[in-house]
Amino acid sequence: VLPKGWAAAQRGPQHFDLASEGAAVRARYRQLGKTPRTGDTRQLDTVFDIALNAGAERVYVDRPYVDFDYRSDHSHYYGRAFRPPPEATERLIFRSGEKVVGVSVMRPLPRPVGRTFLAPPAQQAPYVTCLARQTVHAFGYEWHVDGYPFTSQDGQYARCAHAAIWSIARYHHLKFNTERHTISGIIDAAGLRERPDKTAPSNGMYASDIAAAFRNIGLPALQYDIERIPQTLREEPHAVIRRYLNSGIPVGVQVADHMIVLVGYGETRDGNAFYIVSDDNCGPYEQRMLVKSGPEKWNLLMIPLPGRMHVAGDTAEIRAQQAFGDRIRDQAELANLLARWRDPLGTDEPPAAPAAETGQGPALLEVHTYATPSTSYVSGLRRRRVPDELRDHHVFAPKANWLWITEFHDPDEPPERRVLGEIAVDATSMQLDPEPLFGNIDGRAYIWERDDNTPHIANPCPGARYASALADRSQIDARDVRSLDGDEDDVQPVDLDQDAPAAS
Amino acid sequence: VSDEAFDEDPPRFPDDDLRVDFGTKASGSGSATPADVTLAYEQRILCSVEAQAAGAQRALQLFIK
Repeated sequence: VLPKGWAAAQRGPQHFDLASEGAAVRARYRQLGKTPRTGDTRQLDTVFDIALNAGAERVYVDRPYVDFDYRSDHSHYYGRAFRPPPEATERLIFRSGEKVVGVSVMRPLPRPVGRTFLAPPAQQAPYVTCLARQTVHAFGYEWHVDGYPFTSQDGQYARCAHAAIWSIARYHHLKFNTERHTISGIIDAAGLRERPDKTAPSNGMYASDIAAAFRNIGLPALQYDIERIPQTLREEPHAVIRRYLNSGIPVGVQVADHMIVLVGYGETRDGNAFYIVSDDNCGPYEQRMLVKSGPEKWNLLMIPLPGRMHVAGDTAEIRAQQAFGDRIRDQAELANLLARWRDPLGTDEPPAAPAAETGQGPALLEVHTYATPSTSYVSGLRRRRVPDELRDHHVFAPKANWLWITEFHDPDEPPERRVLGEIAVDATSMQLDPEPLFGNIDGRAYIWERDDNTPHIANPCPGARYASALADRSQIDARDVRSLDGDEDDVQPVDLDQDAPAAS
Repeated sequence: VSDEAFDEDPPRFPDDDLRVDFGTKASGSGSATPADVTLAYEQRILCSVEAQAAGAQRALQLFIK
C-alpha cells in the first residue's frame, strides 16, 4: 500500500525524535510491505534499530528524493508495467548531534529498503573491517557516513545474489575508486544479455554466474569450496577469510540457496571466530558463526578483488613465511627468533623450542597478513610508529601498486611493540611465483631483486619494534541493544502532509 | 587498514639530503633454508592454485535464489 502523499514536495525539513516518534515514521513505510506474498519489512525494522544503536537521535524525512539506483531499476524494469510505481523515493537521514550516522532510501515497493548507508551499531562497530565513506548531501550541506552499503532485494528484478553483488561493488567503488554499478548493470554483467525492452523477473543464478558478474564488472573473484579448504590449503576457513577482511575486502558466502557478505570478524577469548554479516534479508551488520554442516552450511567463498592482485592471500603468506624463515636461518644474530618460529609445514627441520609449545617459555611468533594499496601502506607507517629509518627505507623501496603484507608478531610484547618484522610480497607478481619486494626483521631492512632469494640488507635500527596495521579484533563485553518502542500493528503512521504544498 | 589518523598529520616533503641506505647484498649462495623445507613451501603454493580450481568447480553446482 503506497503511503499517503508519497514523495510530495516539502517546504522545509521534517524531523522526528527517533526514540519517541521513530515507530510512527517506520509505520509509514511498513504500509508498503503489507502486500501478500511479496511484502517484507524486516530490513526496515533493522534500519531503524541500527540507526538507534549507532547513536541517532533524530530522523529527517527528505522528499522527494531521486535515487540513482532506484531510478535505474525503474527505467529498466518497473517503468514498463501498466501501472508503474512512482519514480521518486523518500530518503531517511539519521542524525546524531551534528553528524549524520545513516541514510536509507525508501522505495515505493513491497520491499522498501533501497540504497542504505548506516554507521555500524555500537555492538558490532569494533569488529567491522569493511568500512567505506559515503558523502551525503542534504539541506544545502555535506556530511560523511562511514559504513557498509546495503540494499534489500526487491524480489522481482533482483534477487539476493544481485543485492550482495551490488553491495560489494558499491563498497569497492567508494573505498577503492572502482566503477559504480547498478543492479541492471550487474544483471547484464552476469551474462543474461537482456534486451532493453524485454527485461524479465529473475529466478536466481548459479554461483558461477555470480563469478562471471564479478569478473565482468572488473572485480574478478577468488572462489574457495569451504569444506575442502582444510585439505587443499591445510588451514581452517577462518584463516582464509581473515586475510581478506583484514584487507578491508568483503567476502561473499554462498549459504544453502542464499548469498551473504562478510564485512568483519571478531575472535572470542577461547579462539573461536564470529563474523559480521550483511544479509539482504535482514540487515548489514548481523553477527553470526560459520556453519560447517546441515541445511544452513556455508558452502563457497567468493572474494572479489578490487585491484590488480594476481597472488592470493594464502600464497603470499606462504612466500613471506618462506622469506622470513630464510632470513632468520641465515643470520646468526636472529637465532633467538628461529627458536620461536614454528615451521608451519611439518618438515624434518628441528621444531621450535618445546618450552614455547607448552607455554613455559617465550610465546611462538604469530603471523598476520593483509593486502593494501602501496600508497595506503607507506602513509600508514608513521601512524604505527615505525622508526624513521625503516619508514624511509620502505617508502623509497620499489614497490607494486598492491602489496600483501605479512606481519610477524611477538605476542609477549604490548600492542605498540607487537610487530618485530614484516615482509611485503608483490600482489601483482605471478600466483605460482610470488615475489617478496622488501621487508624488515628485528630492525634489519631488506630489498629483494627479481628472481633472487638473497636480499640486500641494511641494519638501520637494530631491535626495532612497532605497532601492527591491524586492529585487535578480540571480543569485548556485549553492550545493551536498544529497540524502538511500539508493536508494529499498534502504531499509526506519521502524517507528513500537514505542511506540504498541494500536489500539482 | 584505517588511514583516518593522517588527517591530523599534514603532508610534508622529505629533507633534500635524505639518502636511504638500501644495504649490501647478503653473502652466500642464496638460500639458507634446507632443501626439504623449500620443497614443502613450493608444494604449498601449488596447493593454492588447486584450491581455487576446486572452488570454481563447486560454483557450477550451487544455485542461489
